[in-house]
Amino acid sequence: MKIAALVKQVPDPNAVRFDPRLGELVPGIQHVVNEYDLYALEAALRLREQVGGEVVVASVGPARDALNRGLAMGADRAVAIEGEGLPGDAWVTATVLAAWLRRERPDVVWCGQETSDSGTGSVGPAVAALLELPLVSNVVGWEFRDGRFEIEREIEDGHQFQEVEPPVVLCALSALPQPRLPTLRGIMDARRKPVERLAPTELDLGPDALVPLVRWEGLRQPVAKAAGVVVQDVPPDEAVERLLAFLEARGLLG
Amino acid sequence: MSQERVEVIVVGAGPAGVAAALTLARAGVEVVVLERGAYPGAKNVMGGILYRQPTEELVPGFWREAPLERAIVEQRYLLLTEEDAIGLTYRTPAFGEPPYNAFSVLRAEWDRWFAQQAEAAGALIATEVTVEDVLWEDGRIVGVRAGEQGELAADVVVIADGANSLLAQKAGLARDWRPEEQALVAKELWRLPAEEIERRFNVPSGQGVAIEAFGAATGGLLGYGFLYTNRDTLSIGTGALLSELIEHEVNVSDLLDRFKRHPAIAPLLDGAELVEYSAHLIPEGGWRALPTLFTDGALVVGDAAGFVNPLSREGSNFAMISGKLAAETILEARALGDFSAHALSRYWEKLEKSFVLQDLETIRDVMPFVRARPYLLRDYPAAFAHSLRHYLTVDSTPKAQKYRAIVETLLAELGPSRLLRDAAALVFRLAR
Repeated sequence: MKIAALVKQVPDPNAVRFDPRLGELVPGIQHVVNEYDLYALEAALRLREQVGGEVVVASVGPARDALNRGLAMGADRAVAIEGEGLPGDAWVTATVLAAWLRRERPDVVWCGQETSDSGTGSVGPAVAALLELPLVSNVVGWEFRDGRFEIEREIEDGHQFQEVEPPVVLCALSALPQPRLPTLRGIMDARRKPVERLAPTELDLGPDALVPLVRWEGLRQPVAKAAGVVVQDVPPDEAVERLLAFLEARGLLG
Repeated sequence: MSQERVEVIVVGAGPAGVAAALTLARAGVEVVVLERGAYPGAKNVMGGILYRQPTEELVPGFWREAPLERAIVEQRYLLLTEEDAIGLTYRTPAFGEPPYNAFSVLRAEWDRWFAQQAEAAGALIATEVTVEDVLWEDGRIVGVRAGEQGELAADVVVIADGANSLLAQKAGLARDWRPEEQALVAKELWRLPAEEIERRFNVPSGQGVAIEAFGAATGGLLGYGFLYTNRDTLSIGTGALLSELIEHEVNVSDLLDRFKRHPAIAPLLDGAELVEYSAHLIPEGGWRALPTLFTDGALVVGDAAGFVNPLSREGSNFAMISGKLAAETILEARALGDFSAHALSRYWEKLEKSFVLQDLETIRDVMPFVRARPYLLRDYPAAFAHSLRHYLTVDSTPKAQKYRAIVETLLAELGPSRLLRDAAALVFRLAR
């Protein structure tokens, strides 16, 4: 079985700092692999361990460390799609990934549910839509049996169970098994594994195909909310009086 | 399953380990750095001072491109009592011009940049690898074990895993440390606009100030408080010997809180916003606590070896130079095809010829000297401050009477001849 794992490098969420005066992130923040993507990669590796085949780890935009990490964890090869303006917005990223996936034709595409930087959660669904593949998002558990996935997904008020056959796009949440740490052997092996570098033109994508739909207008800090009235350290009777007065003053007692 | 093998393993991607890896990679040696953090610098306490000359021995002209915060043009020493401060300031524009003397750096950024230089030279830096033990064969060290992450074999292991080195102990080179051999430092990073820092510290753009404060900065314990200006942040912290913190049942973060509230310090932080905080051990055992620095198949560098000068707050320069000397030793051993303790003993000779061991020897008696005289950081600041207040308070007292009162204050608070005896003893220990 051919399995693709899609990963993205994001600013380390533990180190991100926002400069409110400049409306930008403080520069120089280390990039790490998006956390959900590591869970997707782990799922891809486990699937390969079960059914055989190969895992291809791919990224759009600068992702040398992320791809190295994927190879060190056990992926068989890596594909780095780099070019000006990439990764772009979710639409551009999905367009590029779909163009590459059309060529690779994997049986299963694992990706993270969303990234910790832009957080749109739409790359996986857009890839599935562009490729006209079924999509299962919010995956928190899965089994592959008799050529079918039995999938547990998290929904707003509970869990949903679905069955789906490859080819399919699956979006991972962090309730899946923990991503493995690379072994020393894996780290050393990674140096000898193939890394394919592709430009969008090599996927027949011209500049017209790479126009973002979303315009980035910079970052703003949320407006600080005024502190509420805190009634504390007063006798209960007085607290009740004050609460009633507060509500009455706002016409909330009918 | 055959074991993976490289020529040299460096454990720890701090300044010492990276300096060793950089030197080795440049000479064409296959070297792997194993770092337990998510990236080099991730485990490092934020702010620090980086010295230009020793750093240039590894990356000439680094200051043109490395992520540096400010060139330090002014050093302030403060002696604090609960409320008062006595200061000594040295400032020179020469330190603000190329090639500079020292810089403030944010360690997470500097360490990463430094590690990138080693990577560019051909070293492999593997992160999130926690080395737990060394591998032995016929009584010599032949590699490392990283728990479930497996094993890696090498001709030599460079132990650069920092203060309180687990690996030096596992290798049988260091004994367990004692509380009087480590300082515990609490550090914070506060954001303040660059222009405000320049106004407040009276420095031009790109230049900065380092402050070291003694006495009440640590509640009289053996240690000091510090404040370094970064580009748009301030690094502030206090550190004290662990043994003294334990003995006096003091929490180091409480010391830092008190330091920040001191009337001479608080205005410098006014309006700043807290970004990060952390705590860190610094080896202070010096000469007397040196581990065995080499054995068959292994060398110890940087903080792991206790290479720190507590008197002049230097550490990163000791780390980098010791890493470089270890690498040069390995290159010589490699040429001979001999990585025995005998071949690696050249490391000791190189250290002895450099400032690394010479400075440790120079200051070998200073910490015991101060530890034996706890009043130095408690009574002296108070006595000096009282005297200066007398002297500077204009209250129509005739001066002769004032001078007499000052001498009487000093004698009463410090005891006759103690002052001279202590000064003479200290000079004798440093200059012999």
